[in-house]
Amino acid sequence: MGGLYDIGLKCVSEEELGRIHAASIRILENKGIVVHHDEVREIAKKKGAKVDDKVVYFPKSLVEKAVETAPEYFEFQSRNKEKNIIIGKDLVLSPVHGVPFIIDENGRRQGTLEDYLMLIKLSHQLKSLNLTGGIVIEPYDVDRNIRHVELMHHLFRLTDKPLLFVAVGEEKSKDIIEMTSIVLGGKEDLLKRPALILSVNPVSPLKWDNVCAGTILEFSKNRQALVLAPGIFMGITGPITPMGTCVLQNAEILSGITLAQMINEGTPVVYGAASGASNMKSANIILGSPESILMNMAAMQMAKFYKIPSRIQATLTDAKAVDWQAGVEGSFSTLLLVLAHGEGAYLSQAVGQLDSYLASSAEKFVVDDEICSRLIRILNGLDTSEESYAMETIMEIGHEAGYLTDDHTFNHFKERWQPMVSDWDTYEDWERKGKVDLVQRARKRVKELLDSYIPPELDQQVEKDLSKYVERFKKSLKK
Amino acid sequence: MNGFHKIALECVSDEVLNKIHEASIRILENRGIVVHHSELREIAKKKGAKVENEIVFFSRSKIENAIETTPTHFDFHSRNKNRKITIGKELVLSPTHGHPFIIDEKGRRPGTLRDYINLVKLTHQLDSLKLTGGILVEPSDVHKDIRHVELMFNLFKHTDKPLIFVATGQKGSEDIIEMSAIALGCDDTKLNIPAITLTVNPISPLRWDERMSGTIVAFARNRQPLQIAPAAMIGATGPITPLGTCVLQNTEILSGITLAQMINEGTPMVIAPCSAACYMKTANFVVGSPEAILMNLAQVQLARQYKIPCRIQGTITDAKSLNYQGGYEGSFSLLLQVLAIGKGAYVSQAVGSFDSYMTVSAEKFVADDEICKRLICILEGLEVSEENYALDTIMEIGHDGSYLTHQDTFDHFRERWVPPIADWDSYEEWERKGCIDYAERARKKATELLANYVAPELDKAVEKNLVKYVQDFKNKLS
Repeated sequence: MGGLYDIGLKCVSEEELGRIHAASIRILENKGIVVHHDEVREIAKKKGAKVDDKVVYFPKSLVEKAVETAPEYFEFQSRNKEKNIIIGKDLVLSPVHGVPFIIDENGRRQGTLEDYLMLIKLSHQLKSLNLTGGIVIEPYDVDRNIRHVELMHHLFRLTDKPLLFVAVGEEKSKDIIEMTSIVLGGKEDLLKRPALILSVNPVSPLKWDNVCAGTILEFSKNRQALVLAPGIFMGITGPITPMGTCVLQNAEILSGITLAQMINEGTPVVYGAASGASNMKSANIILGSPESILMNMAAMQMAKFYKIPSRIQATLTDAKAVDWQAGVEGSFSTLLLVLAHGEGAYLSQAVGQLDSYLASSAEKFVVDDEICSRLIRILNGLDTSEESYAMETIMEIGHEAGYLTDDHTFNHFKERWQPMVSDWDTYEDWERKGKVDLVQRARKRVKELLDSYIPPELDQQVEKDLSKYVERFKKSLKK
Repeated sequence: MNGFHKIALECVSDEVLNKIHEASIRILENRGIVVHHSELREIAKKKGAKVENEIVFFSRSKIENAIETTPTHFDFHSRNKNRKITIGKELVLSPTHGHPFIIDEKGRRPGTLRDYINLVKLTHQLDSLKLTGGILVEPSDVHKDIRHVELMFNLFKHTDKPLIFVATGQKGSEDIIEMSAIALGCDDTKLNIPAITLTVNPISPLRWDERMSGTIVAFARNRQPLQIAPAAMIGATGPITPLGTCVLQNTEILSGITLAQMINEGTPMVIAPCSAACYMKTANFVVGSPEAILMNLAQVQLARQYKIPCRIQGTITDAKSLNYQGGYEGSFSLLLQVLAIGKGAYVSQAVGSFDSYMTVSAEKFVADDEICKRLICILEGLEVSEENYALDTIMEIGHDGSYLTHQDTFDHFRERWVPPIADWDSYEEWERKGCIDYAERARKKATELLANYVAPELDKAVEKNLVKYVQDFKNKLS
């Protein structure tokens, strides 16, 4: 496959990128950002930032140096070396993250550990996903104090894909890094190539809370990967204009990159544009507005400008069901942001998301997997080998019928893309088969995938060590 | 609005484009195309094409000359002067075309004249559509012999937007051109500006039937725009490889352009790729394959090289209802192809199409209209004025203030895009309002639009002349 020839979709000019950068620097130099973490502020001060009470001000030179020392791409490993990925170079797809509810045939309810395990198995099965983990659904029935350890333990057992997780603050970050080093056979390798990635979200406008600041500290010290991901909502926690929110988002991202590089130069960081729009009538967050897509397309250009890998939020929707609206909104965000990003796009929320970041759906995992398969097929472009021009066949067949039964057709028909859940029957066939709707088809596919799930092998010694760690951790809590 | 800084979605390199072009020339020079129309073959022969029985062979120089003489863009008129559009320069969206069935609350059934008129009114109401007409749904209750006259009359009566129609052969084309001249109030009932357009489809592989050929003759003679739209099926009526079908499609397009330019140099044309995939299990025509999109992206690039306006098929889908599949198939097809054309994209089937070109529904017209509104918002790009940067507000609010209650938010919140139908409520509100699904919301919107429809004014004398034309036509037939 040749791949698409040119996908330079540019929302704004180079000049605007310079203006966004200059505006962000002005904010960071003159207004600064609040950091609710003493040690992080101490480090910033030592490295030359001005600190006034809890506000950290970054001079232009420090910000620009940090952008320089952050890697352009990095290898990210999993416990199965064959599944390692290069963030910033490969197309990376990861599932829904950080949602409290699950929507299934019985409606919407809070998530449980059982749902969590089911969705992780599903994400292990879906071929398009090459990164998983995180909070595919919040398991409310797991004690908060042990949730991070419990979930990491399950993740290592249920999948051998590379893992993302969720920001849990300084102390708990130590725990998950420790567990990861057990699985990978020691810390040395882990320091060279990260095996954990998570998002840290500033509290907009311009504030890092203790959990995220502590996570930045611990992850940077251990050179694990950080996604700086402001989730600003236009007109609520940021300016009402898309451009203004883009500036604020960029300033917050630069502050996070600078903090991480001050702590440990060369720490892998990702530019995560997660800001959205809002419903001004009710002041709730909105993901499906074309204006937030435009804003984040400009953000993708900013990441390119800084030569830092970026992450987009894909198949986002405000719909409450796997319906038409979800299909439209998801395709718009996925396609436009990937095309603005170009090669090496990293898509978070690529499958499974509904209801403005509030719900997961197993059916949506598999229908979105098909959207991803479509996307991958598009990005692979046309086969342009001599054979695919089919000139001999065209000249031979001429004006008569006969393509269907031609050898050339027989030799190549298996190469053609086919949908996994979409309906390609005629209306009559579809009617005859009982008018099965897409959600029903998706439910059937979910069941098939779960029924055929086999846990990937995990070294017995590693499993023992992990279990021991979890046991010890639980005991230490009881004291 | 600023517009996009750069839209360059290119599927293949210039080298590949050149190879496709060369392959098409080789086919037209050596294999030719069948033309089932003796007058048209005569014209081609007179203009230097080689003709053998019913096969016409075009030399490279004739083809390349025809590409040269085809305009890069053209003004297109309607009976309302304010609705003039420039095809090839501005975004033009037109509705579904050529489907036999309609779905409503009672299920799927063949279309009727009543449905047709309703859909004309609906397209008149949807402001994203700048062009309408065509076979919005096939009216099965109108006699074939008078269908074109009856429908054209209803189009002129119910809308003043520029019009597309359907290929009706040589005589039928002359009828609709004459009716257009009457509607536009042209002298001597001679249509002297482009004001009616339609699609001609070769029968793939490499054949022009009599109806299409005759339509080309009549339209080119009257310099009315022709849209050349092959609909080859990958692996059934064209090669199994998308690139191979693109070669065949391009060849058929070039043959149509060359024929039209031979008849009347400078006839406005549109390159309109409609080829699609084939579900190899059942050999039926499917429109939602990403491979068909890739193939047509290459065709869009060829149109740009030929400097001829290009039309794509918009929100097409194989889904049978307004579901998730319909949403993503339509969005992929529309977005990718519009981005490949950039400015001046012309979109057919922008609203209303389901079920692989077989079925329409009023709900889908309005649902797709919302997609079009999203597209238009995206193409307008970001506003980048000083004020939109909001730097003063950001500095003022700092770490603690509230954007929600700031004056700046109040001043600009009305500029923000809001959807006509999509649900932006919280889950709780949505539930409280009765969990109304998208299709139901769309149905309500369609009903509202039809209830608010007001017929555009039609000059009394023009209406009289049109009525008389239809009456005379019917009398002649009986």
